[in-house]
Amino acid sequence: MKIIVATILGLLFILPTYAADVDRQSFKEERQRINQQRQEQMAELRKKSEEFKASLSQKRNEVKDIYKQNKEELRAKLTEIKDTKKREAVERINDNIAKVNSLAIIRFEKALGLLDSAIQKVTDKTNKAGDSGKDVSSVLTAIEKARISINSARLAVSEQAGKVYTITITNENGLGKDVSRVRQELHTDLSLVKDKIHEANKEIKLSLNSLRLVIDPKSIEPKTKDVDAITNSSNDDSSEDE
Amino acid sequence: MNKKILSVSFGLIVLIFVGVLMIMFFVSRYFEGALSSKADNEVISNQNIDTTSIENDINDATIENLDGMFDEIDKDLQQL
Repeated sequence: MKIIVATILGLLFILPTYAADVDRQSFKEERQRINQQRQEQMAELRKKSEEFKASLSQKRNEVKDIYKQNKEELRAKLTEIKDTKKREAVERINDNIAKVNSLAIIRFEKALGLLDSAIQKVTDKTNKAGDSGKDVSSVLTAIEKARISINSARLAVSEQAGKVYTITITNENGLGKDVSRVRQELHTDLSLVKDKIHEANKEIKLSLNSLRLVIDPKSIEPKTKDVDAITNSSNDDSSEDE
Repeated sequence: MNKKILSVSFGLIVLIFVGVLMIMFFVSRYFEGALSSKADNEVISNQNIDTTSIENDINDATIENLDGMFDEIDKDLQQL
């Protein structure tokens, strides 16, 4: 009788212990699943970034060919202009317009690469904070917003890379206006893309601050000022460009 | 009488065995929890330091004023 009682008592102690072990096992499995999901997400991001680079490179090559063709057409049209200096100036401007667009695309591409890297780091740190029991839902929302901004900026850069600026000459007297119009068009387009990158930049900074708020609320105050500074500088730049 | 002593002793041995197992389990769990929370704290405190690398990326991604790129074009435009 006593043996039976002892066995029952023993089982009463052992069974909950076993159940706790099973719980821990399922928790570990859940964690592994989340880690795998993260790795898949990162691989997808890398793939997206590579595809973007490849598409930019392809567009640049396409645009180069179109510019070559346009240059010949412009040269033919410029024979109607008597002033040699003006002719040369227009040719140089035509070349420089293509060059400026190409250089700007390279800068934008580099900036987007850095922003991708920044948002990935913010995401990694947010996941780690989430694993350690912090409530990171607000950070995840901010990250999502930042990713949307980056994608929007990436799309704008991609469209810009495929744009061709053609100088159309009407007559010698209107030469300045004709060329100036194309110059202004390029400037406006580049400013719009720059604003998109600034917007993405600002959103990432906000997501970083949101993460800081979760990890260490005391550190947030000076950092909010940084965001304001960035926003203001972005606005200043836009007004300067105009 | 002997039989009674034997069964009581056996019962006690089983109880002590289960008790030792329980103590071992809870002690191991306590240390595991303490170590993992220490690791989490380390991760969180490291994050405070590492955000500078993210800030650097963000700052480097700032596009400066575009007007400088148009200097040569503007110079030639003045001749037209």
